Amino acid sequence: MAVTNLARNLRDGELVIKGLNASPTLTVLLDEGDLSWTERQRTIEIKDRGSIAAGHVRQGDEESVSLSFSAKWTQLLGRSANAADPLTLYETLTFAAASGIASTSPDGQQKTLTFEFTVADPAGVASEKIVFTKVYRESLTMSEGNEANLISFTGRAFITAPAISRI
Amino acid sequence: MLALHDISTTLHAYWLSAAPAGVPTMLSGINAATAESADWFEYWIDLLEGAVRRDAGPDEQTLLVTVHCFSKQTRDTLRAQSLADDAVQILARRTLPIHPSGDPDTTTGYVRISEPSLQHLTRLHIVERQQPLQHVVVSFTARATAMPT
Repeated sequence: MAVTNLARNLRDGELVIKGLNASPTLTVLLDEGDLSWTERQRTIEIKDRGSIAAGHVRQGDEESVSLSFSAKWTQLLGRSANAADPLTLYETLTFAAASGIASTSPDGQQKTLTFEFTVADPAGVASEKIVFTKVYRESLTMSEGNEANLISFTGRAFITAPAISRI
Repeated sequence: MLALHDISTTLHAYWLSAAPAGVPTMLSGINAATAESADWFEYWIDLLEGAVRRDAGPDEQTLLVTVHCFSKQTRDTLRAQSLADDAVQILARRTLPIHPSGDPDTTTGYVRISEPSLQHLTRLHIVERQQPLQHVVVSFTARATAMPT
């Protein structure tokens, strides 16, 4: 059987953040399971003297993918405060020097990361990996809450769609 | 995965170490002799509910910890309230390390106890038992979180 009919949910997902080549990777363990991305398509409507029926549509400019997720916050500083501490999310997303994370884009360009989102098939048949390359940060919001403080990331992947593969 | 046994042991041991001297506590599975006592506690973990999480995320459990405060005293009509205050003082907003059975040097997680909720049930016993019995229930929600592995 190629696929299963079991709906995937947040339990099945795992988000890994990677820098360039050998720089450290971070598996996000305390994320809320709210990763969201949007693939946009721009279209130019050409109307014929105001008529849609006689008009046509053309492809517009390509659009990058917007994505967001949030994670519970344990500490902001890990290796910056103690080299023996595990890598922390805040340090990775902000490219803190102590984290050792390296941008996937060349020097002089905006710093970017690779996000790998794996969705495991609960039946173990058709797991998938969704890879977002050249992810840059638009905002990083730290907020307090009753149960947990949150780090909320919003950004864009400078690609038109993530690369999805069966694993 | 946090074991219910370890969570219960943590909460029971802490309570027994801090409970007011001279006031017996009835724990689940243990019958305390309350006939001789004017005051006593009953200490329960009524609910344990797993939080939704990633497969790779740390185990989290939401607990309901309930302390029933009983008093048969007739002169001090606010004795159960005093016992409830003691329970709040002992448990509210505490964070306790969870140790696996027989290994006090290892910490597998923490229990974080939140603010209390109190219910005064004395009047029910007056109706049912036709004898004075003060009864105040103190409830706490708590969250047990496993250490990342």
